[in-house]
Amino acid sequence: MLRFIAKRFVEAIPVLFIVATITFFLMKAAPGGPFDTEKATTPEIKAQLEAQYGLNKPVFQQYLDYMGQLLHGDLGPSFKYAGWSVAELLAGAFPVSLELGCYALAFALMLGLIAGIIASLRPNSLNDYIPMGLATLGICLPAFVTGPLLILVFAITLGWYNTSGWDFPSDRVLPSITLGLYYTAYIARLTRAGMLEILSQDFIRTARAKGATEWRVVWKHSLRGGLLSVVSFLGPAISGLVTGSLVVETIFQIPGLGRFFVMAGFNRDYTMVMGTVLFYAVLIIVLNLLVDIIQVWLNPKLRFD
Amino acid sequence: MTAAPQPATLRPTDEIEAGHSLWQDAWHRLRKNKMAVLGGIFIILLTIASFVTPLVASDYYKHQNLDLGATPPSHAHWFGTDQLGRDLLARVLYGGCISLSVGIAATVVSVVIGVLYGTISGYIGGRLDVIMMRAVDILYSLPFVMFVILLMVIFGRNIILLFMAIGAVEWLDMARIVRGQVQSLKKQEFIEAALALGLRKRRIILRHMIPNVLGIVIIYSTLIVPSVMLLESFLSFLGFGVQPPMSSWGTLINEGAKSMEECPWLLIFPGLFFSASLFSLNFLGDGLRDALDVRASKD
Amino acid sequence: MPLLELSNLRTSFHTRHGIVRAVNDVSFTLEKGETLGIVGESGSGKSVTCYSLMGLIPQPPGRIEGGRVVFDGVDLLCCKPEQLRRIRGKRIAMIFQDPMTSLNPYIRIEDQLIEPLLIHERIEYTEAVKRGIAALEEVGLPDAAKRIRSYPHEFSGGMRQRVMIAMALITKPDLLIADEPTTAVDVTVQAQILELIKRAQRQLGMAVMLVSHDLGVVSGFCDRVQVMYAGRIVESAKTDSLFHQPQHPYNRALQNSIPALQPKGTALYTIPGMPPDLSRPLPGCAFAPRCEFAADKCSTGEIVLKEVAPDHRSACLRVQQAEIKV
Repeated sequence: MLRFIAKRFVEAIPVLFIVATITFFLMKAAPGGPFDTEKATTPEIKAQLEAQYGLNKPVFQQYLDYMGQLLHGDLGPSFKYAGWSVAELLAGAFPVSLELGCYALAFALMLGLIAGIIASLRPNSLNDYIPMGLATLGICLPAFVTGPLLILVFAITLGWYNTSGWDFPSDRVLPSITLGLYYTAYIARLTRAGMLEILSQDFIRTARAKGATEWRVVWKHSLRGGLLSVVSFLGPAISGLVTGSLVVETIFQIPGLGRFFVMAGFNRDYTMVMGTVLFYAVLIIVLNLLVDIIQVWLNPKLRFD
Repeated sequence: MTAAPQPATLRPTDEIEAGHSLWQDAWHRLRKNKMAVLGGIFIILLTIASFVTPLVASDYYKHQNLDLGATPPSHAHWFGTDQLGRDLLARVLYGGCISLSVGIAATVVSVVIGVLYGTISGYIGGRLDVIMMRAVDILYSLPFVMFVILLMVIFGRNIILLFMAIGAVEWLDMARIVRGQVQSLKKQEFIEAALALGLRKRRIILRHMIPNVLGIVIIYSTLIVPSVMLLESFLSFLGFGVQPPMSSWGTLINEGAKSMEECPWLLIFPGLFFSASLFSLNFLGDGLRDALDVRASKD
Repeated sequence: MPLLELSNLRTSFHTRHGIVRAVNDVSFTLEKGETLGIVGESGSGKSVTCYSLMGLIPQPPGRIEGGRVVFDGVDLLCCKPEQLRRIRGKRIAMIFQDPMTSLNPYIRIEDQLIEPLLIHERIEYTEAVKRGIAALEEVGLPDAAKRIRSYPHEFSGGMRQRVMIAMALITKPDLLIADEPTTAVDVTVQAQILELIKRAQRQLGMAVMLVSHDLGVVSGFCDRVQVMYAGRIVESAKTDSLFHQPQHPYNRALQNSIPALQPKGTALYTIPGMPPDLSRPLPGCAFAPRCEFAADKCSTGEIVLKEVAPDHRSACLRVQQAEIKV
């Protein structure tokens, strides 16, 4: 197991290196510099700013400097927020996004698994059609449609929640549902398919022949195998949640990483954009590794290969 | 499992099925799939409406009527008007034209990349295949959309770049599927025969492989279109995609979301059209896949 | 009172191709400690019969249309699910055809093996594990105390079938249903598996129902044998009598198709035609279209299983009326 983890880490290093290199040169290839947008800057101030951020050095020297900083975990200063480093901005915003992501994933897993299992136990009945019909609907509705609609219904019309913000516990509800809805639907479909597949296996018949209750058949014999596909979906789901949080944080004006990233994009705050991309890449790689470990733990056949 | 009887094997051999081509069979099955047919009809109608409207009334969607302002749906304006007095129906149809165009163009880009990549990987095989597929795996796990945003930020928000960027993101599935198909084709006899005849590899790829993976490519292309449209609208919603005065469904939804308290119809109609299109395309794609799927063609 | 009594069991599957009558009017009894063989081709309804009485038919598409299955005074088809569950796995145990797929790949052998004990008996976990190890040793698994912690995929097919047997026997059942227990294992292992079942039967005094398409397996193992064709029992007799004095053309044809019993050098015998489509109504004798003795009445007359010799029953109309000797 340790070897497996070590191997994945070693694999991740060149990936991150390439990601960092590409983002760096993309940034350099951009027409215009980060200080062009501020109309009031005189050439002297601009030169001074560029010197301060090391932008007057040759590009390759800048690249080496940047990579050297990266090795020390330093993502550089923000171009937009003077006096702030990118790392500080990330550290401030990430916990909010993490919280949102966790709620959304928990919501998706809970509702999706329950709906999928219920549907799989009585296929082609109303217990199947209703949750699966809703799931199909959920898959086709993007967050930027459901989010505003949820606000329209539950915040504006019914007045149960605030339309935006992240100050009260109740502010977590609508964003988490908006972000988690697609994954709820997808997980429900995967669970149903996985459970149906497992429930038709010979070993389920063996379990029934042993006199196992229906509860035991589902809980002890089917769930493990039936949920493998859900677990392998968690990898892509995590990337998706990260991307989705861009939209959800924008809609609900949540001070998380996604919103910072979008703002940084508008403000051409290149170091911030790059830092966020790199941070997300590391995050996703680590979380994917975690998912792989869970998968191996669930499936004994993989454990020995 | 011996418990379930297998009627297919018990059926007397005197019933010989009438010969149908795979495509006839598929068409027949597709027609039986009501949701797919409905989806197809909706998409065709929408496409016609979206592409004809800008032709017959090229300026109408941006025709402003500031005196009118935002009005709810009425006889004169079925979907109402926005703050500038522009007719929302016209704007939605025009937005559909943009969204569908981006959807199709970016799909073409991604299909070209995916098919080439998958064919090469699957055909050459060996170490190259391992490396190429590992690369796909890694790319899968990266926050790709962020790169697209990065690209759009750095190189300006230009619609051609948008096609290319989205296409560059969505080719991964296609590459995997094509590779699988090519690998199984490679083992088949007519390819071996072609090799034995001394055809060049390039020629085998162009003349034998690509035509044979075409069916599966078409099916998955129909499934790429909705995900491309989703990505485009996602970017437009965030403000990185289609720029004013052009408007796609994403930008319309964004504008609608900003003013939904006063004029909810500005959100509801674009959202409805967008979701219905995604719905229809997904059902159509799934229907096509089920209808053409070789694995299920003899049940 | 017999241990098990089936009367007029009818099971069908409602499929897209119509209603498949997999088991059609099957009746038989099984005494305590008796060994009954059921033979027939695939699709003849022998497995479905077993699954029906165990309540293991997937419903839908399966449906038990009628009949009674009385086990020790309890009708398994209409008793409460809870009551059926308490008999299943405790008093009636079952071994399945394919040991590769019949064990849960995600769970340790240990937990699967002692599961019947945990379900049916009030027993401590550690005590159950002890009995599990003993049961594995009983079926000849070396190093049982260690290997009990393995997963199924670490075992060979023969070993898995031993585990299946140990699992079935662990509650000391009154009836063991073995559905083709030797079909999926190597020939060398077959005899060992059968021997294991035989020994356990002697020790526990349990009844065994052995389902097989292999006449050789059945002939050496069973007290009584019944032959099934197209969902019906066509012949039923003591093993000796069934093999030496066949009273149904199908039984005769089956025995003729065993290559080992034919003189060397002659062409191998096969039964002409195909088994019938069970989704269509079959008037008369289902075997008639393939039968060399068939007469007009065979395809119209009503078919019932009748005694044609002492303790020997046949469903052949012409045998019953003593028109032919097969």
